[in-house]
Amino acid sequence: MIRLKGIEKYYANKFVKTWVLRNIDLEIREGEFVTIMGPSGAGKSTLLHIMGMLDDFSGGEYYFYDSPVHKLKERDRTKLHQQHIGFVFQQYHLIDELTVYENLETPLLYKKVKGSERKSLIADMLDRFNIVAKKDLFPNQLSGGQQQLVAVARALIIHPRLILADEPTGNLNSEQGFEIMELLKKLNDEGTTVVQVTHDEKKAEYGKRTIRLLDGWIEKVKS
Amino acid sequence: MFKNYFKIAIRNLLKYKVYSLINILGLAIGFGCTILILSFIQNELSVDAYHQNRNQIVQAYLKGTRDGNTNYQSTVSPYIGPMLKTEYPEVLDVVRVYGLQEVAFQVQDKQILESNGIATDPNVFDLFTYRFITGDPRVALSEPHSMVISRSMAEKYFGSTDAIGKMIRVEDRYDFYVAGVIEDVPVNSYTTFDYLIPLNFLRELGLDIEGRPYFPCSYLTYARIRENTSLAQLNAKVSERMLSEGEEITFDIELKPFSEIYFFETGGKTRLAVMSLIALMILALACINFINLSTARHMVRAREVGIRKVAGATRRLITIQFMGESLLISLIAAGIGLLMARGFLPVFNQMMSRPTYIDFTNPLFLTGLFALVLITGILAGLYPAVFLSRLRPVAVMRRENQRKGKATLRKVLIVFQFVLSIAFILCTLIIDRQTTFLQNFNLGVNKQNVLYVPMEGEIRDHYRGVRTELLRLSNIVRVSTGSRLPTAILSGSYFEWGVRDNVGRRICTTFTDYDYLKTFDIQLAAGRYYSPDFPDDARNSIVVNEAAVRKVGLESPVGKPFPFDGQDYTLIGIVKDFHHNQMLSQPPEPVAFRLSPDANDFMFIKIDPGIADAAAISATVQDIEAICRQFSPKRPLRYEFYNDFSFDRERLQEVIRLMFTISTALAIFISCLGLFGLTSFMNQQKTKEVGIRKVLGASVRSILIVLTKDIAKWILLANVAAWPLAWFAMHKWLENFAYRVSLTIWPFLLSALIALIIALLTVSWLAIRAATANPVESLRYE
Ligand SMILES: Nc1ncnc2c1ncn2[C@@H]1O[C@H](COP(=O)(O)OP(=O)(O)OP(=O)(O)O)[C@@H](O)[C@H]1O
Ligand SMILES: [Mg+2]
Repeated sequence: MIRLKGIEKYYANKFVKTWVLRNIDLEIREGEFVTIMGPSGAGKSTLLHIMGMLDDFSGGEYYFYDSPVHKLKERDRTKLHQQHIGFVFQQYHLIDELTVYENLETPLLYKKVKGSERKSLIADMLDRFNIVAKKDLFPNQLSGGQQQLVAVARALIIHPRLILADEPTGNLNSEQGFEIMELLKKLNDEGTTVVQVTHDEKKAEYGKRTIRLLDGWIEKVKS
Repeated sequence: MFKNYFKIAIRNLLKYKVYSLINILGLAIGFGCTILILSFIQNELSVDAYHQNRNQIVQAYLKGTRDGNTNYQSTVSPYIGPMLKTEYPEVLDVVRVYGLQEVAFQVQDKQILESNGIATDPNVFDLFTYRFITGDPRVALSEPHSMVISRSMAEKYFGSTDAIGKMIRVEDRYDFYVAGVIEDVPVNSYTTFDYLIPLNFLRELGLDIEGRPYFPCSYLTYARIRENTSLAQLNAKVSERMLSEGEEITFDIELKPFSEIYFFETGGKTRLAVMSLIALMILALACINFINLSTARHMVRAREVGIRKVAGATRRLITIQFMGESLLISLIAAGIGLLMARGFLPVFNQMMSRPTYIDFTNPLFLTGLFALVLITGILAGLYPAVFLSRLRPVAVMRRENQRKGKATLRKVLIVFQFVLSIAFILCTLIIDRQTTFLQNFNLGVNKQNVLYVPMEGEIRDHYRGVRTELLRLSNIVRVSTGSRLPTAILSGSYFEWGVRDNVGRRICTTFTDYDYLKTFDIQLAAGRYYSPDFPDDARNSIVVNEAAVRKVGLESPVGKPFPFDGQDYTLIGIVKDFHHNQMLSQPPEPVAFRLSPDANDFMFIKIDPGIADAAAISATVQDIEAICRQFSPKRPLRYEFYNDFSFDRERLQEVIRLMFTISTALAIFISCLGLFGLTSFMNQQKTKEVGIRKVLGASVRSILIVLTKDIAKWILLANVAAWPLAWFAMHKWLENFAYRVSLTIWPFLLSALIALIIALLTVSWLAIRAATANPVESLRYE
């Protein structure tokens, strides 16, 4: 599903190149559950952004199914992302001016999902994440954990074939955190590909494969 | 989707109330001003446009050239019209128009003074388009005592427009019959009138309606010329025939296109240009605000753009969203601006002394307004649409954290706003100084407590009796007569005077009685003024002013012979120069004061200068009216206070001053709105920084300095740019005046100070709020 070949990423700052990712070769097959781990600043989020086509990379090749992402135009990348990928940000990134309900609705609107279908999809998500009571609140009226739930729900609502989750449980209590993990596992069992970033060894266990990043290099691949 | 966009737009408007208010209010003011001025311009352009022959009509002007300066006068001799028609085949038709003085009309028991009539050639309706309600335009003015009246006049006297054949008694002597009723002359006309009588009638008043080439110059003369006639060639031919070169002045007749007359006569083009410029600047200020603030806001919304992209928004959709949002605001502002313009229309009309209508049906107006809304909206939405939508989602979101860097454009725009505002302040200060200077200028004439009354009818006939009665009133110190107000001795003639050398020199002449100088406290430089004690004065004495003596280079001439227009007089006195010409446009010219002891055009009544109380003055005026009523029971007394008298140009000056004051206020207001908005926005961004600084122990003062230092720098920079701009404009403007204030540094420093204080006041309360806020609160805000 995803094939990365020699992906590199650096930031050019005042004559100095800061390398974030170096020579990343990585293949993720359809239906896998992969965990990315590594110390803070290792480049995990960056890698995930690149896989989600949300950020540019400085070198290398990226094939999504058979599309060469590194050659695609913005418009086509957006389309690919919209069709296949659900992304959970480390910082949640909800729209402040929209309610929980409307935040969940936004990706469906861009996907031109019909009104009645939208309603049932949203109701389903609210239900599943146990946030029905919060649906008319704005993000700043929610706790950090609740915001994270909404962010996860928003990523899942379009039933993506690939879920990229950047520490999706970082702000949740362990019970909630494991609920989310169970959900991801269930989705994975149904065929959805999942890539998650986490610091928690226990949660890493959900993955069938762990990739360790250190200073932008892939340390080792354990299978 | 659009519901989603609309919702977020409205929520943004409501959430950032201050920002929205500033944005919409500023833009609405800009739009309002522009709408008013656009309408005004459109109205001005429509003046006299309804005449169907408009493009074929020309008007004859008397053109006088002296010392290389050309002057135009709209009234020419009655000789010119017929001459043009008989001698030039290009001229198809000619109409002369004579403006009538105030005349008493009587219909049965209704007696009214009519001040707005013209005497004209009967073919006037062939040239000009006036709509007849009843009557036949071809014959309506064919009899000397026929009259055409307006609808309102017909309704006033006869209750309806059905007035054909009805009689009107004029000045209690002439009986006219109504031969036609026309619709009222449209307000967008340069010349309006209520009634017309035939020019031929003027013969009965003893007026010369044949005339000589340059005498008497008191008729407006219009001609219809053949289509495709070259006006330049025609003018050249007319000049060949008419050019009369004198020693000091050259006369000529020049034909000007009718379509240019209004602007030529009113100087309206300059006024339009200045007004357009002002409107443009205010609009620019408002738009800059809008664009600036929108862009600033949109920077913060970069994160939203990023999230939307992640959620699948294309560039096009993002463009639509943000453009739509700024267009919505722009549209709301235009609506409010329109309401503001409607609301201020009466005030504006009074200020401009011309009626302006906002014509919603005019396609030009509508497209103009629409284009304005569109351009402003698009410019303001450009940043997120073009810039943010292009970036990759993660890059956009990151941009939010890099707010500090690239605000250069916004700073430049803010500085530009202040450049305009400071220039406005400066111009207003200088215009104000000049106006005050002119108003307080010692003219050498005391206008205080002087009433002037046009002498007509019985008052004129029984002037001596009126005078005696008036002087009996204890409050009245002097009563005199003259042909002109001392500050309105304008028209001069050219002939030999002062010395016998056969050279025609210009001198202005006024007729006065004995007490003229004393009435206005005008001083004598030498000799004496006319006096009833010297019976010879009426025959061979003359008085001139110092300028006249200087002009012909006489030394101690009092008591010596003084030739004047072919006759010999003795110069008995020299009047100290005073400013007899309009608005101090030039230094005093030679003036001759001739004696005419009784009947003159005006009577001047001087009330005791010790009386300043308005009630006492109006009581005295009532006494004066009572006395005049004894002599002239039918005609109400018309009077005015000399202090209230002003020339068109003085009024224009007042209008300019007012316009600049208002514009300056608006400009400052809008700029401050912008500054306020932007600072509050920047402070918001700095809240976290300020919070952290406070946690680390920074004092309120040090934080204040951080927050306001920039503003002061910007204002100083703006001054540097504004000064030369204003200096240049005002230098040009002041050149119009013979007497003017000098451009000192003070208004410049003052305007800098004003701008600085206003700007600092604007930002400081925001800064203080930010600096004194509870740090935990501001950190939580992020
Ligand atoms: N705009 C930027 N300019 C320069 N360096 C950057 C920029 N953004 C990120 N970095 C660097 O890239 C590196 C990787 O960042 P990334 O967010 O991918 O780390 P991470 O592994 O997700 O860390 P964490 O576990 O704390 O989330 C970091 O060292 C960071 O300093
Ligand atoms: Mg991270």
